[in-house]
Amino acid sequence: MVRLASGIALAAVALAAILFLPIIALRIVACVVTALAAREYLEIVDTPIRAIVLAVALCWVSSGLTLPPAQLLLMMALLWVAAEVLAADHSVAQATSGVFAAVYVGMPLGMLVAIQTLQGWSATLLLLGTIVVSDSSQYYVGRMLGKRPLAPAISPKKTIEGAIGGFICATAFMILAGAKMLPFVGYGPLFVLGLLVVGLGICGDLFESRLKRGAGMKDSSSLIPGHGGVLDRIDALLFAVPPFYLFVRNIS
Amino acid sequence: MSRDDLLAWIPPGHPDESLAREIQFDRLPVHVAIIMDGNGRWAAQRHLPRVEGHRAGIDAVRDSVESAARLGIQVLTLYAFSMENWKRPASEVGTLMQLLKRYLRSELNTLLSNDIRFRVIGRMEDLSPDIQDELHAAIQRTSASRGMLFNIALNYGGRAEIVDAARRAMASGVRPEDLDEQRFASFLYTAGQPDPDLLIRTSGEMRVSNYLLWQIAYSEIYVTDTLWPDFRRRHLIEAVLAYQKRERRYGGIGAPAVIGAK
Repeated sequence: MVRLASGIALAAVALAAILFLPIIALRIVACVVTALAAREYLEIVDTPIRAIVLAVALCWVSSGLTLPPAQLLLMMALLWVAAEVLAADHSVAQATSGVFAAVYVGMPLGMLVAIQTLQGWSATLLLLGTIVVSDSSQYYVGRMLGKRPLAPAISPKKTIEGAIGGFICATAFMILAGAKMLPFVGYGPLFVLGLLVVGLGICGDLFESRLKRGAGMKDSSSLIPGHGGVLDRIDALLFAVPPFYLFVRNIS
Repeated sequence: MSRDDLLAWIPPGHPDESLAREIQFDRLPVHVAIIMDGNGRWAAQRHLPRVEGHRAGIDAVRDSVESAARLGIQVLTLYAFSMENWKRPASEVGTLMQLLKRYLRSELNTLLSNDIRFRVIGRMEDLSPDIQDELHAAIQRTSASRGMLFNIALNYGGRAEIVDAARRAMASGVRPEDLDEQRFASFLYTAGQPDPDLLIRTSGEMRVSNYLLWQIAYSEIYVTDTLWPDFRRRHLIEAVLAYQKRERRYGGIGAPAVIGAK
């Protein structure tokens, strides 16, 4: 009950923000969400919290339309790791996992805003809707028909049947809703995008479970009543945004 | 609007000034329709991608809308996107739609300050919901304006419009013998608007391209080689001057018909 209520409240807030906030406000919201999620990630991997700065910076940059050269960003990552290792005496593994917060959390959340800038809220809602349909159909189909576990070592509840249900329902949603939301995009590209969003969404989900399992945690935090942390809520999204973003950039 | 209004807007000594003085303001076309062609060619000549041509075309739209309003034209209809244009690559259509959105946002105040009323003709319901939203907002915001009516044809097809009108006529339950031309016209997207007196097509093509098929029955057609992104106030005035030199007969025999009269 708590889970349903806070889920609906969360969806309503997100929908209102997408429909009514100007882009600049959405960029700020994305940076705030990035900071919250990156903090959870950094706690899970036990890395100094200051790497949040990197995640927020990459979120801000990716949410704009004019991007700095990739080499500049990679060079800054290099300098960050060098400073952490040489000045703060961290291990290379720890320093690089701080940089990873930017790639894992900051970049996709920034891209989500850029999608809205490029093709309006129709595109943003199409992507988010597909992910919601994918998550819930995996859950319900898995509960009804699930027999064989998908990845027993990482996430015991996920089943192959649920995953198949997710692929079918969410790809169908992407094609049907896409024809309405982005009427100039053909069924072929929508079909491929649907498969990518579901497939990468499942990867994102498993990836986050694996992160927590490594640290012996169940939820990334208890920020959202009944849902756990911010990271738990957006884990599938983080992996599904980049391919959709690249597609939208290509058609804009 | 009058000659003085127009001249007050043109900088003194500007070449357009002498052109504007030639206009007979009592014989203006009431409704001007334009087929905006040549964006792609304009871009190709400069070795730019097609979308850059569309981007440049926005400046021509801006200039034409304001010029037409200042001139005193009562209805301006621009052909922005035909139903057949969906066949173009997704990247081009996606950019066009976003350009339209940006134009509406940036020009809404200009439309309002020029007392222009914005309308859309075409099957609007097939566009992206966020584009529809933007269009409805612009229609709503300018609905109280009493100056020029600015129609934009989006997802428009002339035959589709006639089919839609026929469907609406049947749905309204009008008896076949009661349906005449005037009644039928009231079921078109342009219900209540005068038919175009002048149809301008840019970039030299001699085609009607499924545009306002019913309404252009007696329109004077003016084709210019100018590509749409280069089309400005001067070209609009030139088209009006060419129109005013023509004799409109509406199927009669050279009676001294009054130009622009209906």
